[in-house]
Amino acid sequence: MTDVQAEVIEGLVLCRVGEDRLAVRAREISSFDVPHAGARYAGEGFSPQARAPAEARLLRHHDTALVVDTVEVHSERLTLLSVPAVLVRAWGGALCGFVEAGGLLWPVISLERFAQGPEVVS
Amino acid sequence: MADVHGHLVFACGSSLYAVPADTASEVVNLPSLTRVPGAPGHLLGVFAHRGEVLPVVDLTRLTGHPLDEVFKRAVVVRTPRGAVALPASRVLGVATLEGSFERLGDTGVHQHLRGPARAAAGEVAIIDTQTFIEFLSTAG
Amino acid sequence: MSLAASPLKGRHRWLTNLSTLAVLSGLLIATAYASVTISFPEGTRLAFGLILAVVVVVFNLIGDTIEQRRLDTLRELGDSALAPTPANLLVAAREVMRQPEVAFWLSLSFLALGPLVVGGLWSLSSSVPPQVVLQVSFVGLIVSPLTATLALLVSVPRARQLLRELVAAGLPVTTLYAGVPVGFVLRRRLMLFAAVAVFTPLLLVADLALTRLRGLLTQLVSAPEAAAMSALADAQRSGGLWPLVGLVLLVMLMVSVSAWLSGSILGEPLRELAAETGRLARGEHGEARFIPGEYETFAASGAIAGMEAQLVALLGRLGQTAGELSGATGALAGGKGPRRVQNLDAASSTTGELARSAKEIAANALRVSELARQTLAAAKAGRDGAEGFMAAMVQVREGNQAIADSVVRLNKRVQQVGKIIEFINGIADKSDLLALNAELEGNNAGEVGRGFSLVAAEMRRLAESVMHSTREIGGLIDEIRDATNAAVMATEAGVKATDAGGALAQKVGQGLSRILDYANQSADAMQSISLATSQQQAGTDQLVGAMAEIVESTDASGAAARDMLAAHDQLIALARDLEQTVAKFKVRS
Repeated sequence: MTDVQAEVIEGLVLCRVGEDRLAVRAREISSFDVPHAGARYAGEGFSPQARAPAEARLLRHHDTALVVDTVEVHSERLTLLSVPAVLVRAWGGALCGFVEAGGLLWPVISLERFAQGPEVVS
Repeated sequence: MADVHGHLVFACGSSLYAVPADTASEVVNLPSLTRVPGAPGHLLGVFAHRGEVLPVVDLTRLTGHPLDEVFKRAVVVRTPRGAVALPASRVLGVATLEGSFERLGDTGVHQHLRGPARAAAGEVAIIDTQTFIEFLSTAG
Repeated sequence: MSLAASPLKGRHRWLTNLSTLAVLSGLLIATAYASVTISFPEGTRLAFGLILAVVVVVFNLIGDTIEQRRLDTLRELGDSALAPTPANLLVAAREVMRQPEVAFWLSLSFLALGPLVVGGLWSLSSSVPPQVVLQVSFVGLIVSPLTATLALLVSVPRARQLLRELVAAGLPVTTLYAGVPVGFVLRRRLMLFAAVAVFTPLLLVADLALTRLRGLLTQLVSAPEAAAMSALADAQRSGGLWPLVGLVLLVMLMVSVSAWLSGSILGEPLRELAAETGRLARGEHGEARFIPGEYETFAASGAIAGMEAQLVALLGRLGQTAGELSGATGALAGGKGPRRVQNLDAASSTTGELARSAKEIAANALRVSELARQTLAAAKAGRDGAEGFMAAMVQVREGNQAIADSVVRLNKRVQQVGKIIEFINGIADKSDLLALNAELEGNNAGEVGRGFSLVAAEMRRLAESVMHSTREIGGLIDEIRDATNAAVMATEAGVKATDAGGALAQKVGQGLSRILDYANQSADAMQSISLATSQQQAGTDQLVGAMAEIVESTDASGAAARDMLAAHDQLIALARDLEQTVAKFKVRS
């Protein structure tokens, strides 16, 4: 058990990527858009061969963009669960934690870091 | 070296593993897992347990003998470095092990396995949980 | 045989009565003559009389028997032993017409032989001089022709009367004329009658004279003196004259009767024939009338009757066909007769073929009818079989359905059991997990928790054994599920198969029912056809017969038509001539 004070998140965008899930802090997203060429598909984080479907959404924040299948804004307050030690380095440290919403566990990512790819380590 | 506290012995595929009983906090039924982006292959996913996110580490993949078995149970191992859930085909129970406690290899995960120890069910590889979790944290 | 007495009853006796009488009268003459001329030796008269009586009776019996035997048919007709058919009546007519001749010859033999026999017997019984016996025999020879002639002549009127009666009894006149042979011997008969009439008295007188003369000469030679001679001569002259005169008178009477009868033999038919021909000459034609006669008169009467019949027929036919003749010959002149005959020949042969075909068709129809009946029976058996099969299929289907239902129910139960087992398994699993963690906790609690750990381990074993059992049960349930699934599938397949089989059997049954209907219809039709063809066959047979008759008659009429065509003009001319002739006939009358 950790003694770290649990962080609380308000405003979260829950994203579906194939059969997997992702969550991004709402404040990290400036607009939703239609995907464009060159934008990274979030599915790549789960399977290198994954391709965005036709009806995908683009999460935009300044110059950063990430393509997901669907988006859903979750405005309730949620407790951010800490990242286990063995996953701290995953995807270049893009993982911020986990939230439980709707009976499911959602990995919360930093949009900017995730969009940069797995190799970049801050 | 005397096995003072005993070990929790479990089967994973055809291999028997054991963890020191004092590091094995719990045996749980595995729920459906949430996959994590950028996670290594042996990390099957995470699940929330008692307000904590536990990563699930597949020993068969880690040792290079992957099985397509759907594990029902997992042994939760907790160390000061963190906690992981090790999926088990079958949990045999706590046993006092005898035999060798030497490292089984010098590379990869084998650095953190000791043995071969003997249990009633056969030869057992003892996981050095302290170093094992550290190894997992540093491994890609 | 009719119960009513025949009109010919007893006529055979009636026919011969008079000839017997004639013979008796001849006998009377002979006896009388003998008594006058012959000097019987003393004591022999009684014997002579007895012998004569016996011979007369015997000869009469013989003669009568012969005569009656020659009239057998007439007698049987009279006794109704024979039917009065024209053939029988004709035979009787022949017997009747022969009778006078029979009477003649019998009488002749009787009178010629009778005295010989009497004389012979007499000479044997008594000592009679041969000369006297010869005299007796000679008397018979002299008297017999006259007697025979008389017998013949007296029989003729009765024979004529009987012939009339036979005609009245139903003997056709034309048959009578055609069926009785005629001997043209009238001239000989008349000569015989004349000779008998002349020579019999002559011989009698000559014999008488010679006998008297010889007796006188004998007495004279033996007389002692001349006075006695003259006395003898006187006695001869005066005393023996009257019996002689009586005898001569009797002979003359018989001769006269004979002459009169012989005249009437010729005269009566001729008178009737004259009357008949006179009637014909006056044009009064009618039924041919029977005129009895003998010899040439019979032939003449037959010829006149035939002529009358021919004339009547000819005139009748002439009158009847005179009007039609012209039209008929005109139509026949069209020359269609022969062609029609050809057509009829063809038609006749065609109808013959038709009759044969009809026979064959009838036979075939009968066979087909039989086949149709057999088909009907087979189809009935087939339909019954199909119905039985269908019923069996329905039973099988019901059985299958029941099995399927049971299996489905079993499957549901097994699924429920499976769920229970799953539930138990879940509890066992949780118990196991719980025990496992308890064991772990107990172990980590050190010595204090060791006993707890042991209990937890026992609990785990228990939970594991439960899970093991539930796994086994699960395996069994899976097996049962597989088995029941297989059973369900099998029974479903069975139901489907029986459904298909039932449907097939139903179709087969329906097909057989249709076949049965058709077979019924065809059997009915075949029976109708068979009936119709047999009727047609009968009809065709009749047609063939009719055609044959038509062809025959048409052949005849065709030939007749050809003849008539050829003789048409001549016939017309002849008809005119005949008409004129006939008209002339009537004018003269």
